[in-house]
Amino acid sequence: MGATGERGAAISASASESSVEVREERVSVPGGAVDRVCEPRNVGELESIVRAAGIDREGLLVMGGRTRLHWANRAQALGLGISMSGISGVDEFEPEEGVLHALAGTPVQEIREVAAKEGWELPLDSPGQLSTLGGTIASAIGGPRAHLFGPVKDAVLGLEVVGGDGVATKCGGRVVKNVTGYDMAKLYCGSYGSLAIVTGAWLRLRPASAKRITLRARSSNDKERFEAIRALSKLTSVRALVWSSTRTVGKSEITVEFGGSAEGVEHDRAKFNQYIPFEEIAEDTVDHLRDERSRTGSPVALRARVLGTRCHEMMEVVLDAGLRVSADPGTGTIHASGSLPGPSILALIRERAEQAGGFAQFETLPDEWRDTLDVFGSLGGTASIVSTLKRRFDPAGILNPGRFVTLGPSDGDAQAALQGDLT
Amino acid sequence: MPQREKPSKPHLESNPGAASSPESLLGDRPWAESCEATARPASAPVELIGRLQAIVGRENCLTRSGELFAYECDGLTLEPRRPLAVVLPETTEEVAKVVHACREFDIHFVPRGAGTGLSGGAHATAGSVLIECSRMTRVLAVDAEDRFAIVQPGVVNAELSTAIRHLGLFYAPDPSSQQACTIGGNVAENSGGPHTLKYGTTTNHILALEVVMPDGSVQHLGNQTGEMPGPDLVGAFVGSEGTLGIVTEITVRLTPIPEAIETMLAIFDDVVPACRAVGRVIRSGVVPAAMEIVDRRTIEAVEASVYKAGLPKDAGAVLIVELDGSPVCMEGEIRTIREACNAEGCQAIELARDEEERLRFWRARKGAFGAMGRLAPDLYVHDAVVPRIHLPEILEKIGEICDRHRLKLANVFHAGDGNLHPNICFDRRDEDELARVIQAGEEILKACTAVGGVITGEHGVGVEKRDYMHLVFNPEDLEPMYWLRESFNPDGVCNPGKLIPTTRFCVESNPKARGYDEVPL
Amino acid sequence: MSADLSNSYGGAPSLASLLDRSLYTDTLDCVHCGLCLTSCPTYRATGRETASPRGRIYLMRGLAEGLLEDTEVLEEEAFLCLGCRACESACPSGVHYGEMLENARSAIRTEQAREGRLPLAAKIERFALREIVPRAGRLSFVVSLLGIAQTLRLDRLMMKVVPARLAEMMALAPPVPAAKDRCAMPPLTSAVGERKGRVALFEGCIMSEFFGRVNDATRLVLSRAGYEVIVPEAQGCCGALQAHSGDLNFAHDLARENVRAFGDDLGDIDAVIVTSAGCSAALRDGEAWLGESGAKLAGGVRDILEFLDEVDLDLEFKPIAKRACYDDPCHLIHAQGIASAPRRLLNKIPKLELVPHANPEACCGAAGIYNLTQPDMSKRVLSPKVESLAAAKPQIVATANPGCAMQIASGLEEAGVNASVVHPIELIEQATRP
Repeated sequence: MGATGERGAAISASASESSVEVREERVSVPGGAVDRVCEPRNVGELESIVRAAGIDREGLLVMGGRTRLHWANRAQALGLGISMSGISGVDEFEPEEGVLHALAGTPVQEIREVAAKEGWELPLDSPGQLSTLGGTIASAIGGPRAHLFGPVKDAVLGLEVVGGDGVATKCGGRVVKNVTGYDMAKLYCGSYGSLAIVTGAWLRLRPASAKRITLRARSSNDKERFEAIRALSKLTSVRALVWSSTRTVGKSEITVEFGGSAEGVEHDRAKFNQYIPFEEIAEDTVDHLRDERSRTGSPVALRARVLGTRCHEMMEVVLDAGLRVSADPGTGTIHASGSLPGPSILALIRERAEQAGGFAQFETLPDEWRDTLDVFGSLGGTASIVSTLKRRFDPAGILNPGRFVTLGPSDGDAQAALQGDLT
Repeated sequence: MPQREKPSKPHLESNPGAASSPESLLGDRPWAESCEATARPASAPVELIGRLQAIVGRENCLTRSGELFAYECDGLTLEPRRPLAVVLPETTEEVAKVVHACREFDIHFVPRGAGTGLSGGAHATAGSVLIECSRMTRVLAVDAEDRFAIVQPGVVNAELSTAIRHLGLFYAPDPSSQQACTIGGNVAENSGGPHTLKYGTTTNHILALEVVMPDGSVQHLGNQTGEMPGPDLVGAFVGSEGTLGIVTEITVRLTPIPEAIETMLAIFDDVVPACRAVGRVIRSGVVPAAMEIVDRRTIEAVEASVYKAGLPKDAGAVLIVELDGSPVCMEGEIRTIREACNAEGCQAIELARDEEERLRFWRARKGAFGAMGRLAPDLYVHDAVVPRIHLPEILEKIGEICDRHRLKLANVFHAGDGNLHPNICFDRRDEDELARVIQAGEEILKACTAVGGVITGEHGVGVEKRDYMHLVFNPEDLEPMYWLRESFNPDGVCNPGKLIPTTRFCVESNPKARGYDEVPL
Repeated sequence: MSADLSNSYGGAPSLASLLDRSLYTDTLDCVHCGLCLTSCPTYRATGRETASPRGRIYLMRGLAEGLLEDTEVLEEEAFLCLGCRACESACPSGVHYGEMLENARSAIRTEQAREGRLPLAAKIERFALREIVPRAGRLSFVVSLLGIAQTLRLDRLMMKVVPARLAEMMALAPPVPAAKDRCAMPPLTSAVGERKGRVALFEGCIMSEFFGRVNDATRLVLSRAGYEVIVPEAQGCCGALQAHSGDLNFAHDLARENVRAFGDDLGDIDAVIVTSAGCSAALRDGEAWLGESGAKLAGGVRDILEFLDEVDLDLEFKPIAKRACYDDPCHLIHAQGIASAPRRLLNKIPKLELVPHANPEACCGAAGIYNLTQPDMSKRVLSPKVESLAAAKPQIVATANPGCAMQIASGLEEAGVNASVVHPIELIEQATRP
């Protein structure tokens, strides 16, 4: 590893110089653990820690709300945990504009509340009280309201990051339309902190819905019913539609959240009720359904995305495997969890998802299955581009090493490959 | 809680570190010298021409001086550059073969769509071959159920929407040049248009791409669902101005045609109250599909053209607001817009009576740029974005700048996005006037960035604004952009000299010039 | 012959001297926005910038400014242009492309003649357009010969022996009408019922030879509508084909003859009615060609469909139960902006079902005699037209220009589409027959 001096020397020096607190704390993730965690208080401190880690060649485990730490391949050579909680807060909010700036460690819930006070809504639907902005951007996974909000990247106008070289940079901006330079934010969204550490973001907000209601109905799982409801989900005031089902119960539960003008909501609610009777339930039900997806407690949890017309077929495959399903038919997204006898079924599910135009990624896995399964899959044949990017953006290989993308021998030659390719 | 220390917020402040000239952007880099034209061939090797003709056919490989002359610029007529040759391939395979052939002879290449771009992104950089996609015009597949289409890059934007209208679908991004510009060019530029306010820009509508990489290999990015784990390579490619490769197949998202569309014209004495009305609408919670403002001079030009729509010639400004969505919501939303406009003292509000009138309004809006050709021989179409709240003050500032430089200005802009298009009329044969145009343009960009804006919202950086990137980004910010380019286009053969300041690039493409083999970190 | 011809080109500007002419100033109207590209049939067929209006204008400007020396490409591309002027309908800057094209072509031919390199095809074309087409007797003689050949079925035999180009020409020619349909029109036709006005009919050269029935239908409908129709005898060719071929001066001469034929001030004539879109567009150029002296005639010109739409047409229409497509002639829609009048008139005919087809405003490739001078490109331009018409499955295709009618009819026939091609006025005549 590091060619310069004693292991961790530069980090220690940097920490003492800038009085960044490094505490003893063990955090375990697939494939490894860190015993020390530091919490930089500002971007300058983060820069010096990353620079020092580069000199020491210490792998950094970057943590936000720690809700998705297990959602990764086996880590390699971890040295230090970085908690982003110290770089937190909504520090710019322009209610006349509908944009705000927040730091990466800010809990998404906190941003939601700030925006709501002025009649705006944050179009990010990541779970619970704990998810942070940085973690949400790094994993780029939306919740059921992605139906309305679109993908995470759509909410991001500009980003500040600290790269693998320990230099803070920015991209994008605070305006809602911008083609000044490459759209670097697209690369950082969804790269699981492997290309750079997100430190802050300009976000676009949307006007809060004047009226919101949530409805529920029970239904059979047959294709005709599913397709009819999927077609209804295209109505303009539908914010989210969750189809929850298990094979053992047989019946599924459909939860629909509406929002918009009173006239629009009433109109669309009537359309649903014409098809099957729905009852009105608690307004925050979709929040609970969303949060349940990320704390299943099951040994296996997965997320698949397929074409809308293939969503029912994919749901059947997953139900047949004996898993519980929580699907968003409007976006063709399927979350499933439960127990499975072995990894081969997951490989089959992934194959079917890819045939259906999409992919499957595995949130929770028994550790020994990681020998044969990559959490993220083959990335649609782009693995070599992704590893080239990794080499350029993080030449020392210190950002979340191994967890998303793995390079070969660190001499930077062409042998570097994604772990998914090796399996 | 640890103390919250504000990190540097470069989007808001001008960069004190970033100096005002491109030279200082280069800092003390040892290879800091302009070298775009360094040792590039002045003509195409005869053998290469033979190869290109064999690939695309003789009639689709243009090499005569007159032919090359016509390709020396796109929609930006400043700084023309004649290509070595122009090839017009028809298939992905032909594009790949052309790229391989160029590489073999160490010749750079530049992709081009319809040549309607306004930042010179399709200008042939010194010593390069143009790969024109105007013959790649097939719609390969349309899936009405899953709402996507697969098209070749030369498919014309508006014609895609026409072709799928019977399915109740359309392709949402609608740049003003949509009757001529191609989807491939839209991908390169991440084109916007009036309706981006509600529907987003091109990047929000591209699901997957097939790309001929700068090394000649064919690579697929993304999938039909539009989501893929990992960094969004489709998103990074869109808007890369043809510097990361040549897109040869595009999977686009199709959007259902809204059930109801209402278009309103609000007439104001001046652009400033019109801008304030836009602010009120934004704050009201209604999200119109589009909010556009045209000023008096633009109205005059348009009303004199084939795109005349009966706009009132005595109005100081016209605000066009389009609402779409569910019919049940229209009435309330129209009321909101009326209230917002009336609160800013608008003279009158008209609602388009029928589809024909609605289309006439839009043709007028979209023909505005061309119509200004009536005002002077040349037109410099500027493009900058400011936070919406700064629109009124920045418009005054721009007016003041043009007055000071004795230039004729017309404004037409996407007010809802804060995306300005100050159009400066001039005559390029008048060298003094040309110099004043360039000077005023620079001052406008500086004024916009000073309030947190950016130098382009939809026209791209190209060659036009490449050397103004320092107004928005400091050298450190540009470094990851070079990394991205180098990951796709390591030897810089594909569309060199665009988007990010060239000097580093030139040296990159010619390692011996910089005297070492790796970029120091 | 060549020496004679080159001399007679004198007076038109050479390419090099374009700089001093209005043409150069006109090129400055173009802001290079590209909105014209997709309206251009040759750009669509080739994808070449140089085959687009923007590209051609850029070449003109470059040559005029001395930035480009090689004239070869403009020489080719200027004549590959169909002159359909669809680009003018798309141009927000109001570029007068048609005018610029005629000037550029004229300059090119002059230059070629001066340098003794006028192409043989251009010489033949010029001869035909100067010595046959505008001379009623000679044209009639040639058409009669063609008619005899057609009757004796000699035309098919001849096609095997004559040069390919000539064979193409003969294949395109429609059946020559019977002699009685080719005889001169009555000099005066009185109005039926109360006389509302007096109009003059412009016959046109090709129209009167091949489409006498259209002129006759026009005469009858006008008379039924209450107009006295005169056919001034001294009238001649409109000069459109000559102007399009780069023989602008000769076209101007023809225009002057027509000004004399219709009277300098038009006298008591309310309008000069024209049945061919190509002719009406050219006659309207009279002012641009001749200045003040051409203004009166140019201002009096009305396409028959435009005229009938403008006047208060008090006629009873009887039903024609057919499915019809109306295809816009370029010189009607783009050169004169007439698009809705023909449709409004056809919609007056009960039971005539006017069905839409894709891109009715696109050029069919006839473009005067373009189908003879550029047969390959003409076919490439025609094929999407035939496809879109075939898809609409009409029984009748109505179009208001003789060249278009011939071109579309031959295209439909080749594609095996069974639809008759007529001028809208023929349907109106049929529907208003007492």
